[in-house]
Amino acid sequence: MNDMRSELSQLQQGLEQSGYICDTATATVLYLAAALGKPVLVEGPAGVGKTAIAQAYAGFKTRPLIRLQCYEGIDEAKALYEWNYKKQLLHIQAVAGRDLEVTEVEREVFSDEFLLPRPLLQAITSPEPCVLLIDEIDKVDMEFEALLLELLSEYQVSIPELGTIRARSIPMVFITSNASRELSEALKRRCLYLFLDFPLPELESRILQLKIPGIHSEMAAGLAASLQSLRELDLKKTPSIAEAIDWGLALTLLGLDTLETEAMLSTLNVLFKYREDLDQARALITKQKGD
Amino acid sequence: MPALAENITAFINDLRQAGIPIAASQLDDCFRALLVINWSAEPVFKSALSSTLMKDAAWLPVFDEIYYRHFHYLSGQNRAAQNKQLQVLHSGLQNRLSGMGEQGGSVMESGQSSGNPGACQVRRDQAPRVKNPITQDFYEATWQEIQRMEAVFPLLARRLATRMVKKRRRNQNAELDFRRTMRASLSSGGVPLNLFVNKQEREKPVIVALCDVSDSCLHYSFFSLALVHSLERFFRQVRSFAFIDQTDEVTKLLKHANLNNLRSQVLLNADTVGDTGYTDYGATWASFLTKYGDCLTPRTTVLIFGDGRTNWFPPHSDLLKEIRRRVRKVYWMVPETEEDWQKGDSSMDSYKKHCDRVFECLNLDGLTRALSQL
Repeated sequence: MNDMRSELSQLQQGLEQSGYICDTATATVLYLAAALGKPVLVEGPAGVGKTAIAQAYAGFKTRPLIRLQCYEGIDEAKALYEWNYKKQLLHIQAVAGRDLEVTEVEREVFSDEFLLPRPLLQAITSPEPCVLLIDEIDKVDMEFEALLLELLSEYQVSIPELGTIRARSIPMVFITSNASRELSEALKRRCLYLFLDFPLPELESRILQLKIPGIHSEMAAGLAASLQSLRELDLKKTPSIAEAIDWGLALTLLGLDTLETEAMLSTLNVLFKYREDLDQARALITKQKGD
Repeated sequence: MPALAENITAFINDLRQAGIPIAASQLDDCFRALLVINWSAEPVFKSALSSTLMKDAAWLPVFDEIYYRHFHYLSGQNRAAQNKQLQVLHSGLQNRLSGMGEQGGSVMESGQSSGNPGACQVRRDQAPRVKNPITQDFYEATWQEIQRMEAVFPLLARRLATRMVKKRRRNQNAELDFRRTMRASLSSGGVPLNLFVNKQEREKPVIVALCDVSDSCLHYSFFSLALVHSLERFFRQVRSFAFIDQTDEVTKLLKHANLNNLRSQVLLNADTVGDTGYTDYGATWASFLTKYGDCLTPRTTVLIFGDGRTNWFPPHSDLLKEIRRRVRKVYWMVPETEEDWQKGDSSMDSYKKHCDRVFECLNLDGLTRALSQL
């Protein structure tokens, strides 16, 4: 049992080296996912590091990362596999003059050579275990979700012309969702659930120090504290961690070691992309200065 | 020391009672996870439970509350004592599970059959069970329970939106887009490999929502308002009005409000109190028709959220009839059962005649069901 504890801290350290700091709860979910061979469903507000966690995990395990970016209207042909119709047509035209059995031509045309593997098929046919990231699953249609079920529980895919293809290695699967719509129960049941929220100031300050070389620790702590209060505002878009890092970078580039209100005000547009949000943030920071 | 398998099953039962959907396979995962993890730290233990049993962030506040009730004794003590307790619990669970393998029963059954009340059972019984916030009736909900409803609200809004999308898709009859299909076929030598269709958008209705914001159905109305506005993209336009004995438009207020400050925004800023300050449906219809009569068109669907209790003022159902005459549909969502319409100052019986349909919406579940039928 003590192995688990050291493995957990190893995992946390490894992720940190790949540029991702996480708490024990998050590390536990990743550990369980690997131990139980289950996909992880990651939910949380935009810009909280859902995609980054998969990338960092791949980096830590030095496994290839295969990414499937979902969008409305994505289908089997874009996610799983597609027959290369044009090549098939060409092939049929090329052999048309020759005296060949129809069944033989058919067999040729529906072989591996004419199959275009898309991310999902690539992930399970990969000879070494990989990390599969299915990004923004909430954008896809219900029908597509159903397609994923076979893949996620059995790690296999059925292609009518070729039969069932089993995974050569079990990939570590991350599925991210912005919770813009309800996912099917069947899909959720198959996954471990990980909810990521914006980090506490202490953790965010560590993230800033990791990501911005040369940032002063006092400055990082100050930024994290003001980000905390800024995120409590009623905003159109809450500043993400990536934007926070950009903000920190901008301030360090200005050559500052401590937080100055003037500099904060002049760089706020790194953090906020709507005028209303910007106005609110300005008001808050000016008020905090007055206090 | 209580055996943990019983504790966990009791914990899961409470989660289910509170309305959190937990499938049998999730129980299996949960116990498998508990055997894999190291039991020396509470965050690990909690994370193992939440990642296997929870599948939606909206339930997390409810989960935390119930977790705290069951395993509170784990936190608050010094670390050594906490670790020791977890160790004891762990060995208890292992014994339990190994015994079960021999009996061949499932985790759930054996956990339930032998009720061995332990130390933390006492804590649980002291506090009332957490009720399912989705199926709990509005009128009897405490403030704490209303807050739980607010926590799961995003889940319902999402569920409703998903239902609307599905419905809209079903109603679509697609026609072949010949021009695009032919154009695309040129790249494959004239063979049309991909078919393109013309998607016909159905005409979206204009929604006019009228909400009774008097004390008797305050919470009900605000959940309704928030739900209707979460569906905005499915309609051409949504206009909302609040009333007690006078109507005022609150559409703009709602744009800048969230579920937490909705009540204060509307109650402070909307002009809903007229001469008496008591709910008066008759006066409401009159003020609505004179002030906002122009928003009633044959494209409009009127939704009325209220209990139809008129405080013995004249109900003026003729005015509701006039509203009905001008619009496409009138739907009334009542937070009471049909039996109660006969009792006291309810005028639902006379209003009912002028509505295309009356829905009983006692709880969030009823409300989402009714709205999904729009």
